[in-house]
Amino acid sequence: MHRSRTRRILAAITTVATIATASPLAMARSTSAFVGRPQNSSDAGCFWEWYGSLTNVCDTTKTLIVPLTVDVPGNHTIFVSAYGAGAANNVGCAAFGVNKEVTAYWGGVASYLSTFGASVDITLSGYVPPGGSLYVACFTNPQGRINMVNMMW
Amino acid sequence: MKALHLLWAVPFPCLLALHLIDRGRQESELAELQGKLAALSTSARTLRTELAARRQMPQPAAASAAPRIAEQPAPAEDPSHAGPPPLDVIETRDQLEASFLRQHGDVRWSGEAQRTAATRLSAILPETSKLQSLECRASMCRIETAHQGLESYQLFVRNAFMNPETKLWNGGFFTMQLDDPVNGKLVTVSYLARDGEELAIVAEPQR
Repeated sequence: MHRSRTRRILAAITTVATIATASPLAMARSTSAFVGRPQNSSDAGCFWEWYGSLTNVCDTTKTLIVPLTVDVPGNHTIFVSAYGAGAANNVGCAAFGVNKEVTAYWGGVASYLSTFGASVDITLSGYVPPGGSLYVACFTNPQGRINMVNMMW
Repeated sequence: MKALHLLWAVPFPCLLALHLIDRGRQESELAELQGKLAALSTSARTLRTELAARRQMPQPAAASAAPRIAEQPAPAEDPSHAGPPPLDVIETRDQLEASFLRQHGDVRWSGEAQRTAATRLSAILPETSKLQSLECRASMCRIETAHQGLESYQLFVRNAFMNPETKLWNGGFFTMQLDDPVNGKLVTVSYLARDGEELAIVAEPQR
């Protein structure tokens, strides 16, 4: 009995030591949708704010661009939490990175909500060069809502 | 029979004593291991806290560092993400160009993609812009364009790669100016992955 207990403790020590020394920690940052702004300033009145989320209350699709804080350059996985009651209220987003001179652009594939009636994550890939900036552009149908953006690296 | 009992009576206390000694030793080992486990757990927590705090701390200003130190290359931003450093603009272009040149045309995809791209580009290129070359190979298309001014280039990028209603298709892309503008004219190169696919440079893991 003691031996099996000792083995369990040794296994736990090994696990803790491995976690502490070997595995890289996945880091994340969250950004409220309210940090973003419409691509066209004239659409500012189309986005209605509610606790940091933004809903397109106009009759046509509007583009919201959310800047993301970059801690480390390179590849990032981005999750946009969004909501659409139905297909007519869909939200599609794409990530894009820009160099600091704003002369080169890295763009990812755009993805859309695939389920409706509840907030779900849209998963994106984004690349940002050293010293550059990273954004998410969301094409928001009428009554589509963007809650927030989570970024992992 | 009595003799047999006597035979047991002699070694039994000895065995019991040995067992108790061994048990005591095991318990002390157990206590020691539990102590080590607690210490390691604390160390792990401390390391995580320090790492998180270090990430949030602003970097010291370069001016405050001694010149000798300032001249040294900057350390890796995060040792937990050791790996090839992310590529800058020229490195990205070089990698994509090399990858493109290594590829052969995909009979099924590249021909059709090239026709689609040509048709859509003719519809979205600004009047003062010009398509200089277009070629599609196995996993991507390479598009070279000339623009009269930065605004035309920006309009081209937005329409060709970002606007869902006008873009060529939904693929990962990279685009850049090849040279500094000459008399306002700038030449650009763009790489566009297949529909629904990221460019290899973006998909490549950095850690």
